Amino acid sequence: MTPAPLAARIADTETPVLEAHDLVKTYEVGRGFFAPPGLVRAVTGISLTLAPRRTLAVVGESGSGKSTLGRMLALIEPPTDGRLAIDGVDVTGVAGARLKALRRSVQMVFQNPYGSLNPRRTIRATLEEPLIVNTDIGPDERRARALDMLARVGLRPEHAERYPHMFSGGQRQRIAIARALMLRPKIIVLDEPVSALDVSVRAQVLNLLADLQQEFALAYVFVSHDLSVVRHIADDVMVMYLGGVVEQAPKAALFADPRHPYTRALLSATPVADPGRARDRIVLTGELPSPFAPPPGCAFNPRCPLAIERCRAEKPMLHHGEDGRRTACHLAE
Amino acid sequence: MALLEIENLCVDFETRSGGLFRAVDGVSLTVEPREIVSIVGESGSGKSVAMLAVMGLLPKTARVSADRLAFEGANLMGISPAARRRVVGKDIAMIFQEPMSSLNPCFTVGFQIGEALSTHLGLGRAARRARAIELLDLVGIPSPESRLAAFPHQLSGGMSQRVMIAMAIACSPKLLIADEPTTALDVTIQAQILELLVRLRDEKDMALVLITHDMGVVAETAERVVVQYAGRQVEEADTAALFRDPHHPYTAALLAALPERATEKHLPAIPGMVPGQWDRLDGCLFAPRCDVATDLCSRVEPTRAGADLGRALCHTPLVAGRPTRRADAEGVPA
Amino acid sequence: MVDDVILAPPSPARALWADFAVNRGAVGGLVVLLTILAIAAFANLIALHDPMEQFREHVLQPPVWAAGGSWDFPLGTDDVGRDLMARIVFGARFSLFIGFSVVVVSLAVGVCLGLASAFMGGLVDTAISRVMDLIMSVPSLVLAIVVIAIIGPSLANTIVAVTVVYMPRYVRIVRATAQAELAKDYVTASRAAGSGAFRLAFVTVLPNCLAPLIVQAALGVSDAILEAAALGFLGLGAQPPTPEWGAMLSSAREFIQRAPHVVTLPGLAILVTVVSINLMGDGLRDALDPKLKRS
Repeated sequence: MTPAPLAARIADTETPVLEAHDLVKTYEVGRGFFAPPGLVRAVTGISLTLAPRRTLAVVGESGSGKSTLGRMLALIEPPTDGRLAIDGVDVTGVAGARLKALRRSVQMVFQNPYGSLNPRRTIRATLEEPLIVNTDIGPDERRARALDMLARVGLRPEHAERYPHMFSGGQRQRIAIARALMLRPKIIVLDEPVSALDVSVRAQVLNLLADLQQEFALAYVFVSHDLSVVRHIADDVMVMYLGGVVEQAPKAALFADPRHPYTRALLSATPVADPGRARDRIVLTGELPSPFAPPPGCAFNPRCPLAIERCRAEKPMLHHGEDGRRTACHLAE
Repeated sequence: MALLEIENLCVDFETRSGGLFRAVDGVSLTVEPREIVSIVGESGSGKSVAMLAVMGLLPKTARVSADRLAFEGANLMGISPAARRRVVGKDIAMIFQEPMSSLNPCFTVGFQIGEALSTHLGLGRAARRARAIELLDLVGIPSPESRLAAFPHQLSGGMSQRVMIAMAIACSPKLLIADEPTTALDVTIQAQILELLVRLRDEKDMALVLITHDMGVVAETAERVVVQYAGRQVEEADTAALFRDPHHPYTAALLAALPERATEKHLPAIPGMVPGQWDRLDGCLFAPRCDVATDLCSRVEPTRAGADLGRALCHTPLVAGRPTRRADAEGVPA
Repeated sequence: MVDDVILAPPSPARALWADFAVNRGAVGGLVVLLTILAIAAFANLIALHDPMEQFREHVLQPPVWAAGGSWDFPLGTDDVGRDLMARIVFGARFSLFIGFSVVVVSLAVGVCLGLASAFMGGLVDTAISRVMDLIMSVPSLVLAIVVIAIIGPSLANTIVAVTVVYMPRYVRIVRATAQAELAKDYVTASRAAGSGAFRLAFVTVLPNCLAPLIVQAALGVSDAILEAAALGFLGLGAQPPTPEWGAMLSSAREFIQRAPHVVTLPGLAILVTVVSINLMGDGLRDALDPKLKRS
């Protein structure tokens, strides 16, 4: 399939701020002295576009490659193949000074609130670090900006001189979000930002993210495995399995009418806080296959309740539907 | 006869500064045979600590006290360690949250299951092996004979949790306590494990106490629910009743804060945080965050309402979302 | 607005002292060490005589508590009539100087090598690790003797020799802790903020590797003193007439029967110093370790 030029695939009224085309990430894993290294295809050809003030949710379970995709989009890891563009400018494989300049465009918030802040530095030092490294702003101005951002995420100025271990998980995530915003990026990649938080704290942080998105015109890439959270905050949803996209659609369409069997299984497996609802659960058999030896044909076929002979022989391509939906399933075409 | 009877369980921990920290304050629970009860709470609610106290698994710095703590009528308080070992692990079993770190990494799966069998049932080697294979098959592990020699690090999260469950049910316990068994697992695996637990309850006549923070899991699996907040039991009701009409403001707020119940872009979040070790106050522990709290709530500790109001620990339990004055208020000024 | 933090924050220094002070032995060790430091600092005020001055008429005079002793020479004199107390008091300067110098240089070089090893990985890591393995595979005293044999015996060269011998342990600690920290999210976040390799290594990662390093450094001072004393005893360290404790032991070997105080008193000085440092180092380790886990 010949790829359409990047500029031609604009899915929204605004110019996309982030575009990825056929991103691939492969790792070589050493398997001892004498065996040849194993090849792990963490991400196998993902394309997406993202506009400002929109949230793209990347959904998948462990081993789906969603975190790796997030890290590539955040320019933390270079893709093995494929193209990435920010604001229309090709940034694939940038390094050195150019990469450093791009840090102002895209930042990341990590999953674990207990590991993403340097335990030996005060909150103020952590918040000022992006400014120290990237700008020439004087210490007074830096301090002012750090305190300002701290206030925006709902913390008080006296918290600035304290250390991370004195804060709760929810507060640490707020600090992590503040840090990500210090350079006023256009895109923020959030890797499971609320998964480790309690329900009541989760709601606070999600509200904060919604407010900040409007205030700063941010584009979010929201990586998560929790469909109930995704349903609340996403505009578009992309479902991943074993490194590839199995379905991509606007949120309402995906939840109302999931087309891929894996999406359907995920949706039915997600517990719903409503005891009255009829259970129509599709329980998948088996486990995720080893990334060293993906099954032939469709990666999902060993666990798929609808698999046919063609699924075992031929890998399905991402089929573009008429309503902007994309599905990778022989049976959905 | 009730299987497990807990009345007014309190657990205090000795702190480094010399005082006592009350992690569990007055939890009461009765579990009937074959029942699935869920204990719901967020971090700091004391839900795990309460069940660990029942099992006798708390560290030496913990002081456990209760009006009554009995299993099948026999008192569990103050019994000798030997007597406790005869019950715990055999008739009451527990599985934990992190399957990857709950299994001993130095020993094979077969050895660990065999440990439970030889300690409590005194089976010989061949019998242990046969029973281990039987158990692995029961919990849905494919080709069980080959898995006996596997080490924990060779198993995935879902597999490890199944092995843990196999170990726990090895001696056919009458009560299984599951402490957040699926929190660390993927959603599709979670569905498998929960379905397994319910199936085991049906097949093996086992009661299940499910500790979780996920209201969805509660709604789908539990028959009765106990809600805990900051160590106190704030509500107890049948599942359908709890979700339909929560009586304690915390339960109502928790349900409202769920993303799936959101009607607009902003979630009705509960402001503030769970009171920690250093900021225990007079009156109701939830009062600072409660949107129907009155002056009375911050001064006087609430008493428990009747069973029809979910035994809510609240001065003004909610009925259909509105706070009501209790009939048994006993002249406490409004 | 989000509510207050859960804890009223004690400053990290105060919390460290509270943890440290629980261990009485550690506090005792600290007090003794501080006393020794004070003695070394004010040696010229404490000593009654010059340590090099020989009083020929008072050769091998016993200490004041034995028969024949006097308050002129409270700890007696050595085989050429030098005041033992002055020599021990001034000797503290040398021993402590050697101990601290060795640790400072080992730390500086060890930290750089360890960080290079952890950050660059690959061939650099392999090369550094194998060289360190080589150094550690030779018994420490033997290796020190070999180094001295090559560069010649003197006080300064003692420091070099002992540094070479003890450096690998710092390299290993830094390498191991840095590798563990590198996997954590805050390092990635720092890199995502644009930090270069230098800043990442020294500003972001190194402060988190300090706890085991500090403990090792504290204990390293006593090891270095012992090692230097051993070299001095063999005649390969400080040369006479320098009043270094090990060298004093060596030259007094033959007088064990006749005038035991010339041997035992410098030996006691080494013992007290080393034990106090070890007690303090143990206390430091206990205080810092739980802090690491408490995060």
